[in-house]
Amino acid sequence: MLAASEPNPAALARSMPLPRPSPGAASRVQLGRAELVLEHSHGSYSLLWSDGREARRYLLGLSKSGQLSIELRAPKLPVRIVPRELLTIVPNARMRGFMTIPLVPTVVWRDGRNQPQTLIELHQPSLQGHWDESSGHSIQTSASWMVRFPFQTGEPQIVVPLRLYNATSEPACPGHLELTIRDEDLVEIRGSIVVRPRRMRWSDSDMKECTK
Amino acid sequence: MSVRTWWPLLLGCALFTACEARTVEVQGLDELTAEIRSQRLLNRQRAKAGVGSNGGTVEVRAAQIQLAMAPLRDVLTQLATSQSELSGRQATLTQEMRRWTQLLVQSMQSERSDEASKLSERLAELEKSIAEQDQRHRKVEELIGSALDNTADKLELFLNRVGATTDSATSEAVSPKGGGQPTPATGPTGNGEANSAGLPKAPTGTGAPPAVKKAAGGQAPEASAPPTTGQPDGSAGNMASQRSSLAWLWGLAVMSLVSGFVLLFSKKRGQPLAIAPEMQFAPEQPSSGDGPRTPRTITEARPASSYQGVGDHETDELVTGDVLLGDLASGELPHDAQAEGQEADGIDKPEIEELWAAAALLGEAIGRLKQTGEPIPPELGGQQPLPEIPDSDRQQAEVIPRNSLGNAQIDEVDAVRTLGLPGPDRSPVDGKQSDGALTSDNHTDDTVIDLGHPGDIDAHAPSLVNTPEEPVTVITIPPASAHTAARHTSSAPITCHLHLSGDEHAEGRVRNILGQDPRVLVSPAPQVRTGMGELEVSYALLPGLTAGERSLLEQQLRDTVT
Repeated sequence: MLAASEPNPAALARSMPLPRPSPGAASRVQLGRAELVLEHSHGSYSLLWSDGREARRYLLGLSKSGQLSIELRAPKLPVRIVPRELLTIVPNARMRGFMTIPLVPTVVWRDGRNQPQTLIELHQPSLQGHWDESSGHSIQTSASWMVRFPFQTGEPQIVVPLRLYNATSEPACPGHLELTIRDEDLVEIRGSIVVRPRRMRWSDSDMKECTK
Repeated sequence: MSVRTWWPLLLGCALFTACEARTVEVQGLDELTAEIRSQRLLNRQRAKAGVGSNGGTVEVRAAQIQLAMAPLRDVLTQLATSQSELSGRQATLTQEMRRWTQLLVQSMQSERSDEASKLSERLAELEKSIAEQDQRHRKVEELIGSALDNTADKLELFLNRVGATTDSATSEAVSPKGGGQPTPATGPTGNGEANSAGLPKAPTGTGAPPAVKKAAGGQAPEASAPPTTGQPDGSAGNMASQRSSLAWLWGLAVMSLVSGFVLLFSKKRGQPLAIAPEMQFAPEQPSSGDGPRTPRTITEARPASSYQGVGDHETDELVTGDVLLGDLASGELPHDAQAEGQEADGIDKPEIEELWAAAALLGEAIGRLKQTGEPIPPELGGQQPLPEIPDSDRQQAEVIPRNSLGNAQIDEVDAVRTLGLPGPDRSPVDGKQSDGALTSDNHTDDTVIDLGHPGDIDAHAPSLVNTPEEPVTVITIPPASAHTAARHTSSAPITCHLHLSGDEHAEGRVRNILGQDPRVLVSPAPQVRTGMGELEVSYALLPGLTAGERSLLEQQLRDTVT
């Protein structure tokens, strides 16, 4: 089974059903480079996740009523994006572009009453957890600044349109961009998962997100 | 033709002939070179194909190997040389270490011997002071005993004289009324013969108190008169009247005894305290009235609240710690009945023990103050005064029977209540009511959650309620700004500590796993320490991980090590 619709195999969907196989059979879901295989054998289900380099195995006990699905969720913690290029904005200048943030594939169980219950979170290696005393927990990732809408690769990621503005009288050179993205912010458009454009302003030697 | 004409021709012929011969040689050399090249190529091809002849190839290979190994040989030689030097240095260092160890042991032994000698001297001084104090006590007791005997003798002599005069007056009054047969004397006056025989002959009027002299009036010279051998016969009403007439004399006697004791005790309190220089917790305020006092003399010497210097003097004692902290707890100065009772309870205890107990309690109170971080009262060198004791606590402290507990225990409880410290019933180990006072009040930002994790997971800040025997998973919320807390709703990271058995190779594998696992936080960075064949692994995890995932990661690390 493919992760996206047939015409565009690289297209992403926020939720993909993971069919429960019959005993002795298996069902597959392709998620970018990774693949998930659900097998049913001897009264239990085993879920195998592999990205070609690493493989993880999970065992599931499922009831008769309900279904599994793979949902692409935003990181729960604030994301600190470290640009792979040096960004420099002169005073009173603006900058527009796109950055991508990896999504977290999550195995969700929905029972007969359609109540979602999170079973497994498949953390991405590109999302690195951090903690410091001043800001608490956060997720750090690196991304390239793209001037055009990024090409669809099939990897589970969020496309974040960004508008940076330097309101100070000194050139701005941000070391990171901190964003908070919720699941409600995710929008599925033409096979990509995007969020609304985020405006960020440079002040006090920090790039802060503008809030209405 | 001249020579000049033939010379160029000859030169040209010579050059022509020469060029012809060298061309042939060059051609031969080219052929030889080509052959050598072809041979080399053939050799190379054979060498590549492995079909080359053994002799030449082996020589070439041996030469190449020798050539390649030449620098390695030099390096090995240098390594061997440096190794030998290092071994020599190590041997030298080992010898030096042994010498230093011996010197250290010798110095420690000498220091210990010095300390032992000092301690023995100190002990001898203490014993000497105790012996001197004991001698003083005995002297005081002898003085008190002799004073009591003298006073009793004089009083009895005085009473005998007074009784004799009364008897003579009574006999004079009764004799005209009825008969003259004397009856044996009864009552306090006793028999005259017995008194004259049993009592020592004391100087008249020299040792009697002024009140007694005043009461005796001008009849003292008559006291030397021989006592009467009997009393005239009288009725019961006369006897009652005699006893009622003697009541005021008994009151005077009691007053004289009390005044004598007061005088003796005032003399005794003036003596210096032998143990006072040994006190080290409050040496700057030596008390002037710390003479050796027995509980009996204290009880009898402080009958009223108007005793000399009770307020200031006892306050000084309280400040300097000369009085037990149990007296502090009562909230009243020791001149009242309660203080008397408390001091009277310590009849069998020497004062030295009381002082040392007070010092120990004071030290303990200071230690608890340092631990709890509460303000130190001025009695202990701080600024904030002692909290006032509520009446309920005071009554409760008074209700505690001293016989059921030891004095030290009661003093400790009183001191704890007075100083506002967590007592034995409030200790955090017990986990009783005062846990909130220690944890909730001082660490209101901390939230302790037991996740029931099987591994040894703890938080950054140690919790007071944790016991070292029970590995508990604790999440501690660090103090952060309201904005940060509202934005992240995050607590301190879950930090896992593992002790694994492994070497440096296992350390590399563990680091690799911790570095690649997305569930492990990059910051704070995982720490892996190697020592004594063990790996001490510490890493932080993402919040929200289930216990199964944490256990899985731990087991993965264990499997990696094994």
